[in-house]
Amino acid sequence: MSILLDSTWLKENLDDSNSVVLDIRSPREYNSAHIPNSRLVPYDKILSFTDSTSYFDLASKEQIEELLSILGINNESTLVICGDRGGATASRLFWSLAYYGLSVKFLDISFSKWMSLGYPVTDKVETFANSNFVINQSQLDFKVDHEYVLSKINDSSSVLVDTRSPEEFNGIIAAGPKSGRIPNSKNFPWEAAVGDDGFIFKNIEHMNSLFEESGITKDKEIICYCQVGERASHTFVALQICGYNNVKIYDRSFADWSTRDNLPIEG
Amino acid sequence: MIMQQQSKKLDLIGQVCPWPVINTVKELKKLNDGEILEVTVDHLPSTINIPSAVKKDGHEVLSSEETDEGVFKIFIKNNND
Repeated sequence: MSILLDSTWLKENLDDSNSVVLDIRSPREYNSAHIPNSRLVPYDKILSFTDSTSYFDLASKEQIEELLSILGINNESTLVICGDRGGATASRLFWSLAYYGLSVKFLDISFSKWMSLGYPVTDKVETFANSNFVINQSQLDFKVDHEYVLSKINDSSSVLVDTRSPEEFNGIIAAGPKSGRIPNSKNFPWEAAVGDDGFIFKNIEHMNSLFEESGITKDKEIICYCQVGERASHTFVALQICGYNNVKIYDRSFADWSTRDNLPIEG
Repeated sequence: MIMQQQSKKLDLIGQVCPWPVINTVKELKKLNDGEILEVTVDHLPSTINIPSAVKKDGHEVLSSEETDEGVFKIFIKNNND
């Protein structure tokens, strides 16, 4: 089953009660114009964090259940993620919901592209009756921690993929106190998989070719990371679209790795 | 309004990870203790990432709000002690 949802299909099927569009842009952007019947997902509601940690954890099962209940979503619905600006933030939402085993799809184009095509939008902000969303599914094997990553650094059956910029990968700049990368990582900047002309992803053939050129092959376990797990999510979805079936995210990423004592850093 | 008049402005519109955090931290190092930095971003995760990063450096986040569609202003009081 394809992860991507064809926008031309959605345009013609906005009354389809089985699909609910989740919009992860800002509140003002949503209030100004959004896909009819879509629901705004506040970005901070998909994260769990404190002032004392450098990383952002995935929201708990209970937080996600509460969020989807407030948005009036039923368990039977297929969730369709709508993003913008390359889709990294939307990819984080996709990964968060997919991790909890939910049925999720990704709208193939950005909201800006949807608008530019003249597809239906509204500024009417509807109130949806609360539901009682319960996550019954088991969590999927999509998330790993620093200990797991450490165990895979010299494992030839795994590929560590650093989805940050080449400057971060090579230690030239740093968004945290330490520069560098996890040893033996391969650099695949996330923007490489962003599509042209408003498409969130490049086509499958193109992405497959880019991944294979980077040594990211389907016979390996793939572990993606970035600084705080957002950019890695885009690459995670791109790999899933391409049929990679053993992909994980080290979601605390380099923000966590670089602040722990005794973990090796290269570069 | 007083905050806007007295603050130093940093326009980071169009910048995405990792630049908003890097440039904010860099700019704060140039300010004197107690000075206020007004950061403008349109990268939604930066509304979480920037406050998180600067608080760890001891700075104070005075406010963060969406002032235009997708545009956020974050006011940070510098503490370089």
